Amino acid sequence: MGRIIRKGIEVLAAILVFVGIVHGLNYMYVEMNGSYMWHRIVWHSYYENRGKIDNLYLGSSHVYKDIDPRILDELNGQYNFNLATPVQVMNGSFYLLKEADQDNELSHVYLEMYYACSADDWAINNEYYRNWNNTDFMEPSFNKIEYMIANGGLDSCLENLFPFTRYRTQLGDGEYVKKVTAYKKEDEYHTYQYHRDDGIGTSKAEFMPKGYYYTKKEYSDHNMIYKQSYVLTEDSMGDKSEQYCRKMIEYCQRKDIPITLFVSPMNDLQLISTEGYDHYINEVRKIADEYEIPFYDFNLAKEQYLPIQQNQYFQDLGHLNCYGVEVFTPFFYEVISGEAIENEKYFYASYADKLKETAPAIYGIYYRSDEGSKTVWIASNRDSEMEYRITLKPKEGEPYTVQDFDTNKEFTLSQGEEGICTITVRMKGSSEEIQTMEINY
Amino acid sequence: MLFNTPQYILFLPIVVLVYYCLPKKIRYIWLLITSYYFYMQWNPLYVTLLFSCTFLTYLCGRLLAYFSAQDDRKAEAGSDTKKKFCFVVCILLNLGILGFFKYFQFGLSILNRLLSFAHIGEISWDYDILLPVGISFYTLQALGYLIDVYRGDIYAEKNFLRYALFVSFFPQLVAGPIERSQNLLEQLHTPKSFSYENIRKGALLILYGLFCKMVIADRAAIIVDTVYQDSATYPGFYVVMATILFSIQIYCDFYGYSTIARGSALLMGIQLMDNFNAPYYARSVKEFWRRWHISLSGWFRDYLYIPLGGNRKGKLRKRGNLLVVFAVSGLWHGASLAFVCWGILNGVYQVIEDLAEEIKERTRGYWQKWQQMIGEKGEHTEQRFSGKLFRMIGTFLLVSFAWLFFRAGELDVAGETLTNLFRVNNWTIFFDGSLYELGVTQNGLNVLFGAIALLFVVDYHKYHGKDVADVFLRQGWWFRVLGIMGLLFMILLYGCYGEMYDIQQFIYFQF
Repeated sequence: MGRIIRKGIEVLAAILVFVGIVHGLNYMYVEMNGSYMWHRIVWHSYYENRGKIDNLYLGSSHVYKDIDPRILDELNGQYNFNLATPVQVMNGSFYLLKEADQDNELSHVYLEMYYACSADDWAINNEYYRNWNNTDFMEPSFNKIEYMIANGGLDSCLENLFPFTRYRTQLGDGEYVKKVTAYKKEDEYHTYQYHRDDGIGTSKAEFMPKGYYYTKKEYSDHNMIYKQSYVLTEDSMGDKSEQYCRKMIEYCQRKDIPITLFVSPMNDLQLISTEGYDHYINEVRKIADEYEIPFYDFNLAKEQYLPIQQNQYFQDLGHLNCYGVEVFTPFFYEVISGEAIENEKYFYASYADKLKETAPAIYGIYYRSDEGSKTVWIASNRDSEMEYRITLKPKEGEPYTVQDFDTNKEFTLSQGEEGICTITVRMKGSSEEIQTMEINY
Repeated sequence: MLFNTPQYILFLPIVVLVYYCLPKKIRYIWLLITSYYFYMQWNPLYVTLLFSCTFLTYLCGRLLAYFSAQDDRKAEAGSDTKKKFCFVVCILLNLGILGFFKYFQFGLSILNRLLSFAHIGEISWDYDILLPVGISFYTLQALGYLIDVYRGDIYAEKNFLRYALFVSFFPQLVAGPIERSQNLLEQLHTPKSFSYENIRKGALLILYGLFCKMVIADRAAIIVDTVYQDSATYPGFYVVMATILFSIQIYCDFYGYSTIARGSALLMGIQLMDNFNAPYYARSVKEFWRRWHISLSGWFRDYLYIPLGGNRKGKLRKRGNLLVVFAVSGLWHGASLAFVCWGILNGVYQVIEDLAEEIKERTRGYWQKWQQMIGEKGEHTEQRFSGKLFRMIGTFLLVSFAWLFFRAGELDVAGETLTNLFRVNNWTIFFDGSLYELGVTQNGLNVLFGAIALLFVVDYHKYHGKDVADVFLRQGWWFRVLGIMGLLFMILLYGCYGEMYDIQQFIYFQF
């Protein structure tokens, strides 16, 4: 008996040594970059608010940067929480929903449907870290185990269980360890604060209670250039994403929790550059119709109801700043608290309709790849009814005109070239210039 | 299901747990089910071949036993002829299956070359024949059993399921060791009770096997693959470096597999033979082959070399037999002339060693006189450390050179690599950081060399007859914990797995 006890103690002590070393390595190697920090703080905040949450908002940065739960609290008198994380993929949202449902009496779930998180399954199949960033901070539960197994399967179980193994390329890099451990000694880390310099000098981007990212930063009119990787086609939603989206809806319906799908407002430059944004909306709408649940795309909102298509409301092309949030959140509440039929008045039927109904304009330029010379397209809301004059003024070299009022929207920027691109636009057959835009490239 | 995947790490404890929960009498059925499940993870269709081989050899074994019994009773004249006929048919059938799946396309390509040489139209064959995993291993194991029964060395197994387990026992099914029926079948008859010692030694062996495979072999493979896939870009000493690393890679890959196999079997109280015994400490190619892939060398010795006459029919015949055995061994490894060349080269090394030994024996008197003349005393040259080291390094280099053909896989690739080997003299690559551009960082390379050093330390003790696992497990608690944590974290930190690396298949699976 004594021998068995001794052996048992030996094994237990060995396990403790193992756990201690794992903790040490995690401390030394697991980097706290902006995205990882956000997850850490959101989860900390979530567990602080556990049990109180009525309305849950799931999704990507388009949720936590565009919706202020505190405004919603005042408007609906309930407890709202953004359990939103950077590029939250659909399988992640599913397990987060389950986690929140286990801990709270949910009254309503709002699921954001940003196309980059569900337009294909690339992130689900390849960017496992998006979900690791959640599982690392979730408390132990069967849901967490299920989530870990679903994310990358057994093949990635070591990275799942031992976060330090994801940073193996940094092994032996003393500078890296110094940087990571130095940050972890700071107050901000211990007090779960989040202050990031957003480049405007007067204030900082901050984590606000209930998962809201606050910033006053305004996007510059000269930065209307966008790299768009997505071209949305008729069947652009990934199979896994669709499967998990359906799972979430079915889960909520089984549990009698109302669920609403929505898309936050983005800058038109970003949406035009996808070329087939309506295809994507139609896919989501089809799913919503099938389950008879509401779906609101706030990119289709009419300007008289949601007048935010100006850079002063955006911190970048995809996210609102605090001024935009102050305009958007009340409108969001008005829509979600109203009847779907009544809400129709706020929206265009399609994105194409919205562009058609809006006065002729250009929104900027976009390209698809950083490699080599860039092929660039002008983003405008008319196909062939407008003519563009394109002038390039490189940082080094003489300015030159690429084209002088032509309907062609495509041109090339030389590799590595920087400068100012000036686009002047007029309607075909008219000599009156209606808009001029200067863009830094 | 590879040994170095989480699937196996999950599969094994379940198998072991259920194994010990079941009554001893039916444990072999559980192992048979899990072994077939394990094999079906590659391709469920392969099971038909495994089953055919098992059924044929079992049936033949029973028939041989029946004829032997008749022979003993002298009840029927000519039972010996029937026995021989039955034995030969079964051997041919099994070799036929192996030959078809492994050598048909190779044979056809040789035939077509001959036909084209003779200006006769070639035979076309548009189908790809997939080589079932482990077919070479289980076929040899089953044939070994049959030969033993035929020779009367063992009794034919009566229980078909137990025999099926002998052929398909999952730890050694796909890449050996090729177990002898006397060893494995006997243990399957008498399952052992749960033993803490077996569990911890088995777990240690698995850990060490994973270390060899994931830290050394797979890391070395990155450099080897980079150079061998483009030896024109990486000529001269790059090829030298890659070839030497391939020697280490293939050893750690196969040794790692065998060690995990031994460990896995030991968890269930079954002892598999050790397939390697510090081969790179060998001081001659002959000794190397006594220490490398011992189960295969033993198989060829007992079932091919000795039946061919071994060394009983004169020196010339002995050397001829050696060359035949090694050529067959090469062909067993792969259906390509490069593998045959690799085998023959190893045979030629041994013939030369044999000749050198003979010359040395004949001139021993002159050497002794010469030593007396120059006043040398003490140990014979071979007994000195310098002599041992010289022979060891020489053997390693000779074996490594032969591995070049093995790694190249095709004769023309081997030729091209050899040409590139001698094309430039770029020894400076060892000092100017060029080695860090082969896919492994400086830190990674340091880890690799450190791990290889550890391997050689362990092998040194093994070479001197110590069971390193036993010695290790007898040490104090802190030392054991330090060692196990060291291995574990080496694997976790420096193992090739996960997002950054593709999980590498074991090299010997392809044979």
